Amino acid sequence: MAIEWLAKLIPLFPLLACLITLVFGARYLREKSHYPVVFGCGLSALCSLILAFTVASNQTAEEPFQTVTVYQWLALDPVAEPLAEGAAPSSAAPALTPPVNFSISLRVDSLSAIMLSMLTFVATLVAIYASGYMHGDRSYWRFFTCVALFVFSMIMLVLSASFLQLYMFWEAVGLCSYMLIGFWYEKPEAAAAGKKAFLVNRIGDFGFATGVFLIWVTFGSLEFQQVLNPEVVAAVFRAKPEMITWICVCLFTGAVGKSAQFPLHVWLPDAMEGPTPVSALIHAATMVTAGVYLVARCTPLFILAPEARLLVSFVGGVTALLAALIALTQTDLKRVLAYSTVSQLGYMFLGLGTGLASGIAGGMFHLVTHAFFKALLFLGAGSVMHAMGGVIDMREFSGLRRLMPQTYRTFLIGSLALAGLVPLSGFWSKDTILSAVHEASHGPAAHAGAAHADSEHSAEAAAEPNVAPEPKLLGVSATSLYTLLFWMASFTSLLTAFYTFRAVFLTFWGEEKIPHAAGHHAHESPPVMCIPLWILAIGAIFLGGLLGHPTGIFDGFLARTIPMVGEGHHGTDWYVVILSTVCAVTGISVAYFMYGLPSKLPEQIATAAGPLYRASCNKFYLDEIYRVLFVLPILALASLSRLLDWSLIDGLVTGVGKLPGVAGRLPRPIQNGLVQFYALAMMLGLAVLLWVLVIKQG
Amino acid sequence: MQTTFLLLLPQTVVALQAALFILGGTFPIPARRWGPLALVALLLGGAALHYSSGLDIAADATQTLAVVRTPLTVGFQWATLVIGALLVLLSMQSQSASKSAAEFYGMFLLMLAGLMLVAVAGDLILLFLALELISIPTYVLLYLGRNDYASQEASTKYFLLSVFSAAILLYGFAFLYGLAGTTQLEGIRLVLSQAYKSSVAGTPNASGSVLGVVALVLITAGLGFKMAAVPFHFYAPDVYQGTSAFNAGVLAILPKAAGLVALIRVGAETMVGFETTGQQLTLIVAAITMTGGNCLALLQTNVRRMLAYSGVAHAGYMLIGVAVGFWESWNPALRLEQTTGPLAFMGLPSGVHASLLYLLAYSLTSAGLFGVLVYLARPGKQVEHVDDLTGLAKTQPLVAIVAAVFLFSLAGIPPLPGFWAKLSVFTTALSVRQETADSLAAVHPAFVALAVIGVINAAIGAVYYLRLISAMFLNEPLSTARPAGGRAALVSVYCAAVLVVLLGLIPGPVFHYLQQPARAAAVSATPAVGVSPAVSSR
Repeated sequence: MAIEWLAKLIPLFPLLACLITLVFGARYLREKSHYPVVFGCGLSALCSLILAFTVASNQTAEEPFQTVTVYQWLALDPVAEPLAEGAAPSSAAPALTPPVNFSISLRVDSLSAIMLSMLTFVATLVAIYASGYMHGDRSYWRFFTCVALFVFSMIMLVLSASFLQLYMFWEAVGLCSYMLIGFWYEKPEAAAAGKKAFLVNRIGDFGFATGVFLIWVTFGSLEFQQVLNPEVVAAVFRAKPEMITWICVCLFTGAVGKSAQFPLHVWLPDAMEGPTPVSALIHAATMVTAGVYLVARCTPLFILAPEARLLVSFVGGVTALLAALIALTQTDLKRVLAYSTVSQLGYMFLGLGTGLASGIAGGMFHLVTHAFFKALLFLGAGSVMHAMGGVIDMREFSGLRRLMPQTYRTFLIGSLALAGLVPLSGFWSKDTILSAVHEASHGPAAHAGAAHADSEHSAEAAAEPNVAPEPKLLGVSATSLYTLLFWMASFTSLLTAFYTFRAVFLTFWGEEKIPHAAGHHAHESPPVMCIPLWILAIGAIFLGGLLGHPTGIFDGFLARTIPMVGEGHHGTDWYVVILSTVCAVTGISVAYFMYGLPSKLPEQIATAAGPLYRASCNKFYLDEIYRVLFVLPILALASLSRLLDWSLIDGLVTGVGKLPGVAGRLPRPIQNGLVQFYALAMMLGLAVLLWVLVIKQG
Repeated sequence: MQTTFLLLLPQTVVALQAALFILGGTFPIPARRWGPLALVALLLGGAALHYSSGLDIAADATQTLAVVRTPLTVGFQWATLVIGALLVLLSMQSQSASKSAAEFYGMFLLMLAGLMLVAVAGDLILLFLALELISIPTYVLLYLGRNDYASQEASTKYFLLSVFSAAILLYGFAFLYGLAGTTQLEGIRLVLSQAYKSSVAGTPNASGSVLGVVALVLITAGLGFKMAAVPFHFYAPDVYQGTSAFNAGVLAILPKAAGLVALIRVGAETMVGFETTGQQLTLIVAAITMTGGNCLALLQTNVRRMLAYSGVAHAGYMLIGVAVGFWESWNPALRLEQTTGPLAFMGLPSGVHASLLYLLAYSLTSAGLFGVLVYLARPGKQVEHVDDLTGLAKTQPLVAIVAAVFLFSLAGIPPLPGFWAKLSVFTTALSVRQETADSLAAVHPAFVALAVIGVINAAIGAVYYLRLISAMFLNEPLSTARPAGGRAALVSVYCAAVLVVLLGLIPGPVFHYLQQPARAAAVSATPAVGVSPAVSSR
């Protein structure tokens, strides 16, 4: 009962806030437009926390989730009761297809509770921060309306109980993202970035939609209750195993688009044209993690598709490395963070792809901790940008640590967490993922079909030992691939520490340099912006240790919802711990020597590594490659189609379209207004009908 | 006897009050009082309906009566009262200064009583009486509408053609009586099923007798006039154009509902043994009605004329359900297949129930749309041309949105009721099966063709509805005069809009309601052969 009410209230508050700012914002609220949104998100965060605790205390293994139906558009059983009685014997057979149900329902379980708590908490802080950051903007109310709409859509996405609803709100958050990236639409870059984000996401969404269609065709239902039910999935798997793989690949394509994974990651860095709170909330903490959430939600499908899982891990690992390499040389502080987000999202997919309990829990855990420290870093960057009069190029300013002590300290905490230093939260979550990958690289005994949560299937596997050969991707066996991925991930964590601290040293260390745009009043941000920074910083420090490995709270909580492959091993993998700590420390030290101390090293290295340096600077020319490979041919095709459309199709369509008009003109003379003629026409009509039915049939 | 009166209580109450209204017109009562009084009258009618529908009457008792009562007839009467109330609200402003307000509302109440009587009539004579109870006040109403030549021409035209069609209908009823020897519908059904069904063990005699076919064609023609089905529709555009927007709205809803219900009652439910003929007849009429109405509507620039043709087209869609109804009464076993098979997903109403859903959706939406026209009338000038509506979104944004909702519903855009109605009608046509050499349940090509024609027509129909919407939203207003329809009309329009949206968003209860059996006792599977046709003794 309590859960039902809470689940309904959580999306309600942001929705109300959105409506209030939409209706009253422009005329009455103006500079106070943030109040409804802050309160809406705050109340919703409160409810989410209560919900998480309720779920934690209530849930039993028998009832791992609860579905709350908010509104039923239409839900009727195919069998109509009054007619079934006293009729043919076929009524005895029950309907094979499950009842079709178009409803908006909320699914509450530990996974959605975790996502909700994180989402609403960060959203509240960002809304408070934004009330300072956006102060004086002439579309102040529009900003908060969009933010509230986004929070509502994201909450509904997370609470969705069917793929249809998920898809609907998946598009809704995409729309909000588009509106907020292009918030300053007078700027051509912002408008272009919004468009790019929208278009690139279409590619992913096409895959997602295909996945949803396949699910409908295969399962005959879109309800999670039906599709993600391990027994049902196992039955479908026995019938057509390759279908599950295809579904997973399609769904993952959607996740790749939304979560900015290679090769569809190109939109996220450009999305930094939007206001910084938006970057923090949507493009770091919440919306981009929707893809991760989708894959985690569909775990029951993914555990039966080892090839698809390998693909997830592989794409994740490659993205993590690639984005980290690009981040090394970027000079725009927000873009460094954007590539870092892409890279960290890659980590999450890497963990999810292993299919191990520790990997999935690690991926989700990294999602939560990352939301805190990345939102913190973005808000810190926003604080810098605020003070520097909108300049965010790290070559234009330096030595800000004395000018902006609060921002500096919180940013440093965020950087340490991102670098993965003990005992900050980033360490725990990243370590879990690395351990899982390390475990996966030890061979098939530890992963794949050997120990499915679904007992039925594992029994089958035991009967036929060779039923699940080791999955391969492009001819490479899973074991060697995971070994490769493990080293890639470890190297990435070194790079992460390096580029993060490069940004810290360039921005806050060295001599004090302030760009002209900042004028003479460069100052620390107001408390309304600094307090959220500190709250996030506290989260970034303690969250990992509190919920992660040392206590095991997070894993235990999550494990109730998601059936996982393998029991996972809960001990600490000291090998990984030491390796990742060494990586982090090395990265930080190298950054210190290159950028913390005055030296000529960076220039020398840049010259020495000439082509590589330029490739990283130019994001490996991916935008240019896409332009030549996809954009230009599509534009050419578009012009051709337009020509054809004009000359050929339009002619045809207008021709056919004129038919009814012509047909209508023919009998017009009959409609002559003479009553005797009307009576005659009626009689004639009657006569013709009689002739057809009586005379013709004899 | 007493039961009959109790069952007819709502109709009696409304009709008696109508008489009081006409009587009261001679007293010096201010005109503006009559509108609210009419609402009170409807409220009393509703109370009577509530009372009589709560009465406990044995199901088999009603079989021998001239009146039937099923959940569906009760629902139909409620819908009549609600739509009647909406229309009364609509007319309040224009009647508040009229000298003939009492007569106007008296006539209108009589029409409503007639429509409620159509729903319950279980006897040919009572049915004809009920239909005339709608027609005759309509003549008066049309005459009271406006005092110009166009209006008088319209009412004369309607009067002449209506009388003409009533004669055809009565001719058909006479044939039917000659065939069965009784006027009671249940009795006719029993006689016909004895004559044509039991003759060849179980296989119905598809053609029936020529007399029956003639009766069916005549009845369909007579009722087709009321529904404005092609080729009996000629009066509709001329009359709609010549009369006031309110009268056009009344004409678009009440006679159409009466015609459809009467056709279902006399045709699909009663004329056992003539299913094939009925099916073919309604198939043909439905196809030409849809196509003719839509094609002609495309060319119109006068709004009421356009809506007249659109109403013709909608009658065609409703007839699809009746055609399936004929088929269903022939194949009760296959009907189950239809309600459980893959096409029955979502529990959409089938057969005549789909038609009734269509009727409900159409009536509510039309009441709203004609209400918008009534509201937007300017002093001394009605909404005539499409140009009178251009730029409505700029001058009256809320009314424009509401009008767009109605138009979208008529065009069949989800999630509005028009969509559900069209979906049900097309689905039910596609679910018709027939026995062929290869398969026991092959799709019926004629019905598939009908569904295809229906879908094409829906596309054609969308053109002129969307054209109206685009005129309202995309063009600049031509004049900024204030609408003079009055606040009550606006309330009526908004109420209709709320009902339309609700029906679209929460269609489940209505679907469930329509799933209930249409006839009081669904004994059609085992006709009591022993019962003599002389059950008409009341």
